[in-house]
Parts: sequence; structure tokens; C-alpha cells
Amino acid sequence: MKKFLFSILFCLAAYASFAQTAAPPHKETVRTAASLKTGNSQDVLTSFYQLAIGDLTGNNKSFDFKSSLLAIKAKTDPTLWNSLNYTKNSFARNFVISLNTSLDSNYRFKSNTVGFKYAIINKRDKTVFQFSLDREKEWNRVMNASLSKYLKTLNNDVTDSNFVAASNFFNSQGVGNQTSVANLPPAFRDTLNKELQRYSAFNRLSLAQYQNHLQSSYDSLSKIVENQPLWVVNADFTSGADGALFTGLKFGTEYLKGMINNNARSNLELHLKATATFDDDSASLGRDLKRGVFSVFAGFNWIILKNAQRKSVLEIKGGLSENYIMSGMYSDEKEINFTGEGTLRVRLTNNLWVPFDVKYDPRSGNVLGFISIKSNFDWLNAARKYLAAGAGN
Amino acid sequence: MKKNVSIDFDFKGVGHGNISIFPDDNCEPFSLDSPGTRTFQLEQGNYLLRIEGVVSMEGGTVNVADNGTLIAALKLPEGYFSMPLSFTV
Repeated sequence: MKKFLFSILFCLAAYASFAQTAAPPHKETVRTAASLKTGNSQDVLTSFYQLAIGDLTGNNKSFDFKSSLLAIKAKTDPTLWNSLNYTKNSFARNFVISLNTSLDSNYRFKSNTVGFKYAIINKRDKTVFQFSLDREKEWNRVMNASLSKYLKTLNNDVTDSNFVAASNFFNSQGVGNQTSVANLPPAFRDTLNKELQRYSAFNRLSLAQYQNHLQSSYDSLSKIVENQPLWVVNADFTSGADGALFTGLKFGTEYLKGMINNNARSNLELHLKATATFDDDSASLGRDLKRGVFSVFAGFNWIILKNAQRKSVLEIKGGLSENYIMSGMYSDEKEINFTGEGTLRVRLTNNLWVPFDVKYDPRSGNVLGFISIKSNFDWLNAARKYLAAGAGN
Repeated sequence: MKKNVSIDFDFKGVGHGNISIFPDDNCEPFSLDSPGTRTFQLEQGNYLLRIEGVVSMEGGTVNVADNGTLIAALKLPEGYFSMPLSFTV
């Protein structure tokens, strides 16, 4: 009965997360903040929601739902998205609740887990970073003055193709048609050059350097933010198929830190992890938590490829883990065990990741592989919004 | 005949935007560090709005309304952007 109860709770949590909040039309945005984070960091600290099916082809299938406290609170109070409220809700942004149901290979219920996670240090949150771009005000003054002067020579006709080309020179990369320096109308190029000379901040820059100045400034800053440390602690509480509470306890901590500042296309993240688990010692009678295992993991997550929007699309993580059996060791086990671990993550869509985990035990020579599916976020909600907005028209 | 045209800049979280409207005889460029609306009296005709800035969480929107009726809208991507929006009053 309890397993059904938990399943209902799980569905309610999922429904609550995906239920449509009556947002005004101008809130119809489909892109997400978390889209720029690595898949690995989303696993360490979920920004909003994460739904996952773990070990799809193996014997330990699991269904996971994670949500930040802020995402739950904002479902009933959309004003939390306002910048002031959002910034103030530091605890809710950094606190994640998770629900997990595990099944065996015959799809029979094995266990439920409720988890809590909190980021003690989270300096890589770009959502609260106030980006102040280098010489932004001056850049806009040059743009305003040059376009205004040029427009007057075209009888203030903003539909003139030359003016449109001149205006598109200031477009950010990847947005619409950015006019290159070579394709600028000659008269506008002269006007722009004159305006640039008026500002000492830019008079040594070429037109192309001026054009991409703010984009470059943003890229540099966001790289620095992405590489900041993230340190989380977590506690998970498991109940088993027999309905007993606390058949397993897990306490853990994880640390992430980006390593390369000056590469927009790839990066390397240091990933450290330590967990202590306490489970039932099946060699002894009755239910207890006498089997204790302490594990540490150290490795690197290599962001192999980012796309044009600087989203990570391919990652590989590798490292070594050591398991130390503190108590309840079985006769065929060794007290300390080393394994090699790796995860290949492929981003199929903006929200959908497919991680493939591999574990290698050098003593037995066994290699185990697990494939999962993870969706970071309210992709159902976004899809509804997308359809409701008639985007398919 | 002049009309009341409002420019609404909206986003979640932290961000800012610098907005210019061409031709700019009737409205100065303005900056917003939080979601907000500015209203102008504009003659009938064609206009081009440019917005430059950063929204760091989930993108944003710019909506142009003529006496309360939406006449143009622009979705802003997350991160840095500099984009045009044409509208007719």
C-alpha cells in the first residue's frame, strides 16, 4: 500500500511542477537559464526541475524527480520570478528536493527515496550575476548617434534597405542577419567611423572589433562565472518494499569547479564527491542500518563541445572512486575497493540529455554500463507554452 | 495624430536593457535595470526599436502597444543580445 501511496505522491509532485500557472502572454519564453549549464552541474544542483529514468536497460531501473524549492514556490507565487524577489530567495534557489522510485528487472517495486540537497557555496549562478559590460553606455551612444545621423540622410525612412543593413550591423551574433563590415553602406561606414573617433574608448578599435565588443565582454564574464565553485551537501532517506521506513540513509557532499577560463568552446570541471551510506546488513537478522560504506570520487568532467549558443552538447567525465566498507562487510568482499568511473553525456535537445555511465572494477575486470534519460526542466510546460502561443503556425 | 505607444521590457531574475527608437525625434534612448514600461507620444509611421542588454535567467520580451493594443513583440534570448524590432503606429 505504501508503495502506491508514494507513487501517488510522486505523480502529484510531478503534476504540481508541470501544472500551468496563469502567466500573462508576455511571459511566454521558452528558453531556460539552466540551458547554459553543463549536464554534470545540473545533476549536482538542479536549477528548476529534472525528470530522469535511470539504468534503462539494467536491473536497477529508477524514476527520479528533482525540483528546487524556488521552482515549487514559484508555482503558487509567480512574483518570485521578479528580480528583487528572486535575488532575495537565496535559500529556495539553492535547496533541492528529490523523489526516487527504484524497480527491479521485472519492474517490481524495490524502494523509495526522499532526498534533500543544499548548495553551501554556489558562485556560478549566472541568474543572480549582474552583468556590467565594459563600456556599454559608450557603445550605445555610438550606435544611437551613427544610426540617427544616417537615418536623417534617408528622410527618416526606417524601412530603407540601407538603413536596415546599417541597423543590423549592431545585431548580436547569431541573432537575425548581422551585417558584416564589408557589406555596410559606404555612407554609413563613414558616419560610424566618425562617431567612433569621438570616443577615446573606441578610437583604436576596428569596426569589427567595435561590433563584437559587448558580445566579447559578456562571453569573458560568463566564462568566469561558469568556472566558479559549487559545493553541495545532501541527505537521502530510503524506505524499502516491505514498507519499513529508513531502510537506507545516505549523506554526501559534492564540489565542482571550472578550470579553463579562456576557451568558449570547451571546458574542464573538477568534480569531487564523498558519500557515506548506511543500509541493512543482510547477513544479520532483522532490519538495521549496520552496513556502512564510505565512498570518495575524484575526476574531471570535460565539456568537449559547445554549440553556437555556448550550450554544452557533449561531455565526458572520468575519475577514480574508492569504496571503504566501514561496517557489515560480507565474506566475499574486500574492505577497500577501487573502481574507475566514466559518464558520456550527449545532449539530444535543449532539455534532454542521455548519460551513459560506465564502471570498471580493475580487480574483477568487470565493466558495467548504464544508460539513462534526463530532462532538465519544465519541457512539458515549455512545450505547452509553445503550442499555446501558436508557434507552430 | 499622435498616439500613446508603450514599450514594455520584461524578464525574470537579474538583467538590464538599453532601448533606442528610430527616428528618435520624440523619444530619448532609455535604460532599464528591472522590468518596466515607458510610454511615448508618437506620430503615425514606421519605427525601428533597438534593444541591447543582458538577461541572465530565461530570456525576456519586448512588447510594443498602441493605446493598449499589442502591435509588435520580440523574444530576447538568455545572455547578451542586441536586436531590432520594427513596428508601425
